[in-house]
Amino acid sequence: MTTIAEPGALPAVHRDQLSFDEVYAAHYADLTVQLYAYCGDRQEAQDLVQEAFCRALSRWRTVAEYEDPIAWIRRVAWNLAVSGWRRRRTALGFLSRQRREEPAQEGPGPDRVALFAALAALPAPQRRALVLHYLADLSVAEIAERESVPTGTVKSWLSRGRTALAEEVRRD
Amino acid sequence: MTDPFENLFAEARIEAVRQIQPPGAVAAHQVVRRRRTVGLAAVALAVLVVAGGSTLLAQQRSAAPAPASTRSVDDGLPGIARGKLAKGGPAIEAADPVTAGYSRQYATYVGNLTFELACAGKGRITLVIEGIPNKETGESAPVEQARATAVCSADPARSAVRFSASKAISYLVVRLADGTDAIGHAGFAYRLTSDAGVLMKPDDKRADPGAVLPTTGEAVEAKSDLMWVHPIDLHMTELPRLTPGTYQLAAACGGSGVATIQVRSGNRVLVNHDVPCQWQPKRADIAVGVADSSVSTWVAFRTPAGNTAPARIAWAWIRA
Repeated sequence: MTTIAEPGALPAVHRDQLSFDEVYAAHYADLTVQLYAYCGDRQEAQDLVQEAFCRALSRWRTVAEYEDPIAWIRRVAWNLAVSGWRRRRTALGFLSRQRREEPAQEGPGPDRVALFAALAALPAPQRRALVLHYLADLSVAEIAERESVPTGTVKSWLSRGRTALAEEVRRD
Repeated sequence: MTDPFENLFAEARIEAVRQIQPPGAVAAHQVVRRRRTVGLAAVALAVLVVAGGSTLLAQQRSAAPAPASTRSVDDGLPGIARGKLAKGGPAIEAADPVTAGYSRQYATYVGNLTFELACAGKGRITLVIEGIPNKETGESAPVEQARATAVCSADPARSAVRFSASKAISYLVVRLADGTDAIGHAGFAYRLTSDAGVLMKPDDKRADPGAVLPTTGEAVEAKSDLMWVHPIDLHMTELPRLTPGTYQLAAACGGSGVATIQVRSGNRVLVNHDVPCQWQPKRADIAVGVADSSVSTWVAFRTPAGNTAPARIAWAWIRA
């Protein structure tokens, strides 16, 4: 569980950096898994989440004051995922970014491939609802608020999504 | 009742987290710092442009003659400098006296670009090559791509710098960044070439690997978007379900280096095939027998030392 340092506990600059770094360390991987499950491309997911964190950092004093800063970052990352940013990103300057060398031989395990492939076959709202529920641990009410739909709609997405997912996974 | 998906997702999360390598909070700080710097530079540039415009207007109104120093340059100096540069092949070339505020705009090109510079006369000059971001980026401030410095002399030496234009750039600007002591006393020449052999703009069809892949007339089951890959990138695409059978995987790579296309079914490697990257990209066909529907396509990219340009890769699965 990440906590944001209380105001006054540390000098302002140090406090801001520490808070951001803590939030980053605690949530980067989880958020990336969610986006990966949604868009099916790990590198893309990493880029989306990194961009969301960069945007949060550029206004960190404000974001850190929010009740749930990670909700703001998650929303930005998801908005980027469904917006044209992913397409535009391919035109952006990769040269200036530093990526670590990744192991070329390590592939995803068969279970994850099956699950993510099954997710990819679902309509976007159902996929989003399942990912937010199972990977972001959001409640039905939280998903409904985030998606600006009634809770009944989210329950329906989850129910249909589970049925379709079970069908897809069984096929594998 | 236990939700059977809880465990499935939890296990997938654990496994996926293991493979994620965060760029790091430090990288985020660097990006934000760079963006702020670029933003400030844009404001400063705007102020300079406004101030420079006012000054120019004032000079025009007073009908002041041009500074004598800019007229005293020997017209032969740019020619001497030009003689020190390579010749032949498609290139952007310029030869001019060193003047304050020198700036020229060009298109941007794919591949590793080489910028050669020579300066004849007295002094020392630095030219900076800046990229003007395309509109899609939402940025407007010029971004430095490379810079070259030359000492001006009666027998100039050639200096060269290699770079590749970022994909976010819509055109390049060559600008005199420093050369106060050479203004009016020197002439310079430069030359821009690409290892693509010809100068191809990013939207040139000849540079597009997707253009050599099938679109119609063959049973295309799945197709990639155009991927820009850097030497340290690794791309994985999980395909839509493929019916078991025999396929041709058609792939093409534009750039310098080798793209390794790997097809996997789970952890099993079905195909490991090197596709040479070249300008202009050519189609390679790889036969793949698919027995299992959960197939993923991986792309890794190796490149010769000194290469900074990304490659562009595209592939398509065709039912044989």
